[in-house]
Amino acid sequence: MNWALKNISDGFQRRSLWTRLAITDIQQTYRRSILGVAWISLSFAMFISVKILIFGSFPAVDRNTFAIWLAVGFWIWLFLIDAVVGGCNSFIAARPWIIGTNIPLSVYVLQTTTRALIRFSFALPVVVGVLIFFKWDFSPQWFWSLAGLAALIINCLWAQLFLAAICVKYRDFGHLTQSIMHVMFFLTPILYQPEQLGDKAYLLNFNPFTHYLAVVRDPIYYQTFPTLSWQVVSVTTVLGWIIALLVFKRLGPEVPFRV
Amino acid sequence: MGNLVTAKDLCLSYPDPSQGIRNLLSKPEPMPLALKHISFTLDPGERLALVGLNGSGKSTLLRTIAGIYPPKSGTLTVNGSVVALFNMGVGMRMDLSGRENIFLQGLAHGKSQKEMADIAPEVIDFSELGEVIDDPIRTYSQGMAMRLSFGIATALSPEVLLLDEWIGAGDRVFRAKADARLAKMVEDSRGFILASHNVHIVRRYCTKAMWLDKGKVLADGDIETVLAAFTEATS
Repeated sequence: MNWALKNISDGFQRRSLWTRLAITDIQQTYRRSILGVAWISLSFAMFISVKILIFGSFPAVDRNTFAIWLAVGFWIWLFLIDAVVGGCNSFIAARPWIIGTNIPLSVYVLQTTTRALIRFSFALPVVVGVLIFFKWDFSPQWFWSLAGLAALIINCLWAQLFLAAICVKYRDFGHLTQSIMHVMFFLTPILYQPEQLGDKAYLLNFNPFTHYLAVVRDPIYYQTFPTLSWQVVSVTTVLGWIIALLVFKRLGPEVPFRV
Repeated sequence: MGNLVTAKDLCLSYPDPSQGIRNLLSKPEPMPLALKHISFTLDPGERLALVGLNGSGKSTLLRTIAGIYPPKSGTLTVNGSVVALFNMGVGMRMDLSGRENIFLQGLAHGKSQKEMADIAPEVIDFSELGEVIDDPIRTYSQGMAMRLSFGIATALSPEVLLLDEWIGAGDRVFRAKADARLAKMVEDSRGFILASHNVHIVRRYCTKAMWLDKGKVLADGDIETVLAAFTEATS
């Protein structure tokens, strides 16, 4: 376990490196386009608007509340999918660095998380815009969302460490994860609200992503503290880190040979 | 102050190259050792040459000393900073300017933003890119890009310098300049290890040699003795 923990703490100390790498990734993607990083906000805004127009017009749906539900939910989902899919490629994308330098592997995971966080924060103005436009009442409960976000980041780190290490050896795993995430989008209450499922709504509780969304969205949407969701998130955080550390300890040293 | 680098009974094997779900089911055969019980020391001021045919383990050993490959058994201690120039220009970002790339490379080598601000002007001057340094390196010619990555790589001042073949850059005129710069870097380092096929280069820059064959040390010590044995056995 020493190796894994040392790698993570060494990597953590190279903060200026992983932040710079993450920023560079973003710059690389949007440089030479006129709107640049504004595309992140714009594409998010386009997606949200169309969804609000279509799904908000359903007779059983109240457009105003649905807009908040969707904007916040999809915003978090964007981060989760970015982090998870990016995590699968953390090491694979860093191949030349890994075989050419002795930078701790965890740096590339932190790079991926930071990159996802930057994209995520560029979509925030759109969420704020939706909250203002639909005149959603502010509540002090909202601050629980910040704790929820912190929990998401901590969970993304273990998930990426796990996925990055395993995808180097088992390349199928990356494709499998992407396919699962596509399915999860529909199994997670983002485009619909649990109540719409009637007496089947409880099934959503078996999907951990429901709870990952709830710890951020519930304080804003219901203005409540989602106790069950926090319990689930706490358990997956601990279990996830244990599994990720075990996998990283086992597969991490092989990464420079296999990547 | 002891040795710069000490290796004791170093063994290394590559993991089974087969990938995918298949090797979850069957236990892979153990792989043969790529480095077999290698021991050596590098003292301050020493310049070690690694000689041997292709596939003898020179690059593997260098990557192990650089801390990239973890050894399977044995111990390796390195006292001091190591710079390994294997893939010059590793991680250069095409859409960033030359200047931004200098800073990124510096960060990768553990330099701070401030340290790099001191180093950058000298790199720009050396690579003769003053006018285009703020253009994206995508617009550079191959020669220009080479000069930049060479300039960056050789601007660092490590205690232990590892080289996999003597590197150079540019046209005939620039090459002489590059040679002098790399030689200066070797001079300034406290310890130097060079893996090379080129006997002339090895003689010029190294004080002792180690002959590797199939991951084993066949001879080490005085450079002329080792080179003589190596050339005799392989010609």
